[in-house]
Amino acid sequence: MGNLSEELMEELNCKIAFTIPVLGGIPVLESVVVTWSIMAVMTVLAICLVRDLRVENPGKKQLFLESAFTVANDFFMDIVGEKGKRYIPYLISTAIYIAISNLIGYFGFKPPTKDLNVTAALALLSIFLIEYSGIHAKGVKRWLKGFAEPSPIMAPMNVLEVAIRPLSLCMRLFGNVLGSFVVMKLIEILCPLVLPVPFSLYFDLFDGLIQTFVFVFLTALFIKEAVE
Amino acid sequence: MVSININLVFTMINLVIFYLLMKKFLIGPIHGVMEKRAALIQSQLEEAKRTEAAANQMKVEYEESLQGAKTECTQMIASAKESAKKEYDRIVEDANQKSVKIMEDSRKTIQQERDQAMEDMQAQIAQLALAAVGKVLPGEISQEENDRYYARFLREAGEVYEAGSN
Repeated sequence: MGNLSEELMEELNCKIAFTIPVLGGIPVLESVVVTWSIMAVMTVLAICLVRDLRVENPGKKQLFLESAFTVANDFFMDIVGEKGKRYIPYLISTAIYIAISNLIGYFGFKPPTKDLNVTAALALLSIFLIEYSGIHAKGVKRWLKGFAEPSPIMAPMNVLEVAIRPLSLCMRLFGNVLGSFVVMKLIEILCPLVLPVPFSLYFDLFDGLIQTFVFVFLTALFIKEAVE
Repeated sequence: MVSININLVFTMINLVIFYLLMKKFLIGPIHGVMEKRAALIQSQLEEAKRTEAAANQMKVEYEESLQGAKTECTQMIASAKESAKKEYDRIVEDANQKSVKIMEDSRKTIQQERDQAMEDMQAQIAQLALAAVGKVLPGEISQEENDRYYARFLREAGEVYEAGSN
């Protein structure tokens, strides 16, 4: 049993990929490096995909891209509305990143979302965006007044919410990915053949995509609240 | 095992860069091409609408001009009929007048001829009477006596004729 927990601990640790030899050595975690790979691959893929977009007579590839984009765009548009339209590209790119991060385990990489730093970064960016969208839509004065709604008594709660929202976003994503990772490892250790397949489909694929959906859905919802 | 460190900042920077990259290379181009297509379709729709409106306008104009032509045609036919009627009436009137005139003329001519004939007859009767008188009366009669007889005869004969004709 000690062996198992040690193994789990070993798997859970986000390894340091390399250390930048300045200021006494800055450790760069594997998750950051994987993120770089995702960025590089996605950028190259994007450039390849959009290389020959045509206004008339789109090819199958373009039709697929456009319908995927339309689905995502309409989905976010329904949530954030006309006022939050400008944040849709960020939401889409975040969705792409989280989805790839959650599924990248299938390709033998460690999912970056398993690292608390990554989910915290995502959540922090989300809360920045949410508050920024509120300030952008209402102006600083009305944004500040928004904290005293529906009554000034609620102000502490509203301020707390600014901290709680990203925390919950961060922890939900991290917890889910970590939890499914742990469960999958346990199942693999118990029975490495056949049995992990359905569980993997649920925990890695389904849960990964659901968490992606939940994260961007909630961010969009908060943006919608902020801009109204 | 679970710790927040400088990698949080790295990841945030990464995410922002990732967002910019995606916006530049994936979302931007797709959105752009879709916008362009939407604009193209919009412009084509507007073009079609304009063309349709123009066609409708032309149709209305044609109908109007057709209507105008019909009215004009009717008017022309009516006026032609009218002028024809007038011409007809005039011709008939003319003919009537002419025929009346001809009748009158002919009546006059007949009258003249009859008068002429009467005169001739009177002259001939006078000569006849003269000859008869010459045969009846013995001897010569003077010219004066002759004329007197003649005149008397004529008068009496004329009275007889007029009483007969009346």
